[in-house]
Amino acid sequence: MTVKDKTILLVEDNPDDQALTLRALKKNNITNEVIVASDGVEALDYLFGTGRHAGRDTRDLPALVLLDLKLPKVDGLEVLRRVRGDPRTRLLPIVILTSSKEDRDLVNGYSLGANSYVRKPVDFTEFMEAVRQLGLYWLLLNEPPPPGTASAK
Amino acid sequence: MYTRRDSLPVRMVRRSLSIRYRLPLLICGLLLVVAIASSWAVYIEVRRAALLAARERLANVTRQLSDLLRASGRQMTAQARALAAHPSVVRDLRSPGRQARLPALAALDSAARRVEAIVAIELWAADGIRRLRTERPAPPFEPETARELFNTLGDADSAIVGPYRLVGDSLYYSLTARVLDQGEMLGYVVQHRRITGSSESARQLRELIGSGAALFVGNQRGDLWTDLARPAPPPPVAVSGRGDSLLQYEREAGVWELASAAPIPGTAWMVLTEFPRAPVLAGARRVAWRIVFVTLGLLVLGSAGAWALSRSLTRPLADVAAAAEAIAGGDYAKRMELDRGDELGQLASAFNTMAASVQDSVGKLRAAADRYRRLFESNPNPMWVYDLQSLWFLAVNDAAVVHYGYSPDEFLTMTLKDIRPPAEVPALLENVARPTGTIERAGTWVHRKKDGTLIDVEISSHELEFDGRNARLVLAHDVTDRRRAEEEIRRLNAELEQRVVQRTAELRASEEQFRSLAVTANDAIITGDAHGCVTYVNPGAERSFGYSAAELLGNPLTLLMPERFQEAHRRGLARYLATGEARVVGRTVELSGRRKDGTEFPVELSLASWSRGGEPSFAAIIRDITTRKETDAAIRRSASELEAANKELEAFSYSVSHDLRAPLRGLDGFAQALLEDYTQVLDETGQDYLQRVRAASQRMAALIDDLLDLSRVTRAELRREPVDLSALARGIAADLHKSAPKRKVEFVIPEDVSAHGDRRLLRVVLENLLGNAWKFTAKRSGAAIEFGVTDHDGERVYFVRDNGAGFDMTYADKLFAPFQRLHAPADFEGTGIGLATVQRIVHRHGGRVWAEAGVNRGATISFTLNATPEGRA
Repeated sequence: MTVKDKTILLVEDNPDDQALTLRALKKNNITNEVIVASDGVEALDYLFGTGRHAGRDTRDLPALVLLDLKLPKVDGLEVLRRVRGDPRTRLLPIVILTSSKEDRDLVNGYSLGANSYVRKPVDFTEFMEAVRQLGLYWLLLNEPPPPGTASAK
Repeated sequence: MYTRRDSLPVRMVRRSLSIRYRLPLLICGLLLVVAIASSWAVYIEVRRAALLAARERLANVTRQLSDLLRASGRQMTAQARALAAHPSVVRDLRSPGRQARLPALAALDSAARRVEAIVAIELWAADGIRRLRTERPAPPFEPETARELFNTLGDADSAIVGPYRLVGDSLYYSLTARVLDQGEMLGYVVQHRRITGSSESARQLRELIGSGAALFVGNQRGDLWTDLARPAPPPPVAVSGRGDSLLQYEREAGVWELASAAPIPGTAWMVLTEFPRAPVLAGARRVAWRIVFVTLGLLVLGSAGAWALSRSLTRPLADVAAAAEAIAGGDYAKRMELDRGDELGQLASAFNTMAASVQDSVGKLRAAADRYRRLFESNPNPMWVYDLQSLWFLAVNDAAVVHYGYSPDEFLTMTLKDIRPPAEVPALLENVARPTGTIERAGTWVHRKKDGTLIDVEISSHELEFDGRNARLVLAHDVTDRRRAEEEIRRLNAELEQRVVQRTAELRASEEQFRSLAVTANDAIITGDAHGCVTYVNPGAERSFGYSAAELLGNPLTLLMPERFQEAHRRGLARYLATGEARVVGRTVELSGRRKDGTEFPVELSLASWSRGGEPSFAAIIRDITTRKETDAAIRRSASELEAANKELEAFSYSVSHDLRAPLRGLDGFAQALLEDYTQVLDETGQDYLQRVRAASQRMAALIDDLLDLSRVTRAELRREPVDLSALARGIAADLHKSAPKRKVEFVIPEDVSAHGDRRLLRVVLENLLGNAWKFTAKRSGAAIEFGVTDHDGERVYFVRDNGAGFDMTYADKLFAPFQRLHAPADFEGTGIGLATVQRIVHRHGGRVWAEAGVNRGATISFTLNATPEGRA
């Protein structure tokens, strides 16, 4: 699986989970560039070219955002709300990747426009499998929205 | 009205030939007679005229022919006279001798030669002796013929033509002239002539007369006739030859001829002209035919006119007849529509007047009859008419049909005896046989309905003639109910008296009871009157309010209330007294009371009201609820604390779900990373440890999940709906089979086991129970798992039964506690949360759950789901 030009934005505060996710991607031969944001603010900065990422070309959007829900500063649902509320990122594929399987998280996630909701399994073997399938689906099988349509309202 | 019918009248109608036919026939007959008579008269007249014209014409023609033939005769006699005057003839007679004879004979010969018809010429001496005769061959002529001719010659006549004679087949005639010399008669010249075969002149003459005409010339004595060519048959009648009379005769059978004859002067002949009668009468016939046709036409027209006239006369008559029949048949609204000024119009108008009057009368009659019939038919009491001799019912009304249960047809085949109980029949017969007045009240009788029930009826009757029979009209008034009611009233009266006695005693006892109740009651019981004044207080009231009874009696109730309630109380009382509208009466309300010392306390007031002698009275039961209010407040406090605790717990659970699992994932993930990346630096024990780290973290994750499930079960809102448990169980069984396809487990799941509960939670229950059964049968062959429902004392008991490892019932009480396990993890894995979850769900549904088992004898987990209003599981 080598799709170089498609970047992945991983929004994850837990360094362990960051490491494990990156490992899982690597082990599954997903060599796309992975940008890691450790909290919601950083994720939003990256996507909208603000703060630390000021000046970034915001037309260069990731092919996939893996979004944890429980995040410091701005939590995952808020990130989702703002991304969906902005015409530039309205159609961005976002997969919620979280430990929770609480009903309200599922309902809120889907209500705010998450494309998918995956629960992180504790068993690393299962986690590997989950990451493999996510990569396979979102980076290869899924046709992303055509470039330039993101801002179309 | 239902009545007996015996026969129907039959109406006979005799018919004769109608005027409609008779009138035109008569007119036609008359027309026919007139037409025939007039036609006949006209025909006869025309025919007469035609015949007259024909006679005129024939007479003229005949006369002209006669003249023509006389001229011809004169010409012939002139020749004869010329010969007679010839000198040689005279000389011969004067001086007979040889010398004179030859010239005379020569003169005769030359004269004979000049005319072809002349066959011989003779010279006779006056003494009647023939002197000379031409030498040409000729038939012999009798000398008598010549002498006869001389005799017919008159004194004045110098010459004459004689009649026809038949010699052989030919006709001859002779003419003679006197030979005179100086006034002396010397002798006669006689010419014999023959009628030549083809007489051109005769044909010309016929054509002159006209085609179809025939011309005959004959002797005046009528013995010989000729058509101037040859002999002709004589006409069949005698022809006189005198006058202008028209002759008519049949020349051949059926062929009539008209004929006219005239003598030809200077000859012995007469002429006869014949004309066929048919052409003459043809005109008359044509006229006659025309008359016939015209007459026939007139006849037809006349007949048609007569027919039309007859129709116009008879149709209104027929209409009158039809209308009259319609009225006779009952159609009284029938009217004649005839707008004519003549007698028929008057007839129609008179008829309509009559019909209107009939309709009016009939309407009145019918209305009257209807009224009386309705009096019978619609009478609410059963009525009937019966034959006095046979006792047959002759008519019954609706009420009788309804009341006695017999159909009208049944009634009309019954007699009076049939509605009596058999025991009453002799009395009935006796009563009927008894002579009575016209109107009779026969008193009360027992009748029997069709269904056998006996009823008491009061009978009134009236004798009348009905359809020609002696009958009696009966009105039956059912007094069964009245009689029963009377009996019932008597019985009730007796009972009432009994009860009054009893009630009085009871009331006395009740009053005692009430009094002791009021006295011993803890609550305050106070009664008041319409003025809002206290009429009674019990010791409880004295205790609660701190007043003595004497202080309260007769004083206003407002004494016991805080001032802020007093105005509302007075208004409520006034309103209740005025309108009966009660806001407090009959209900329990919470208010405040005021003690004698002025302190207020919460009370619960129940107010009842009743009327005593028209005056409303009130009773209040007042409970001091100070303690209860305090308790309520405490409970509310606890509830809100509990709610806060729940919220906290929820937040905790949520946090656990996120945060507790993350480190576990790290543990497992990095252990796996070590196993993958550093295998070469770890010996087997090291690797085993890492595996254990992974197993422990996964097990902890499972525990966390189960705990979260358990907590969710506690928190989730319960949504009840009908749930098909059979379908749920089958789905779970299928999932279990899929998870371990190699296992052979027999599931027994009946159809249509349903429940009323929360679908998701019931699914969790079945997943746990079937999952347990699946787990605990893993180590035996012939595993069987049964899900079902039984009825136990009217309660539906669901169960999951297996024939697996089972357990020791000694520990059954620990089974449903969280984290309690009865088997070593090495034997059967599990977190020990499943049955605790099941129990929670069952409890939340208001049910119970229990287990029965034995070691290695399988286990049965049973549960019930209670009992909500719609809990018809």
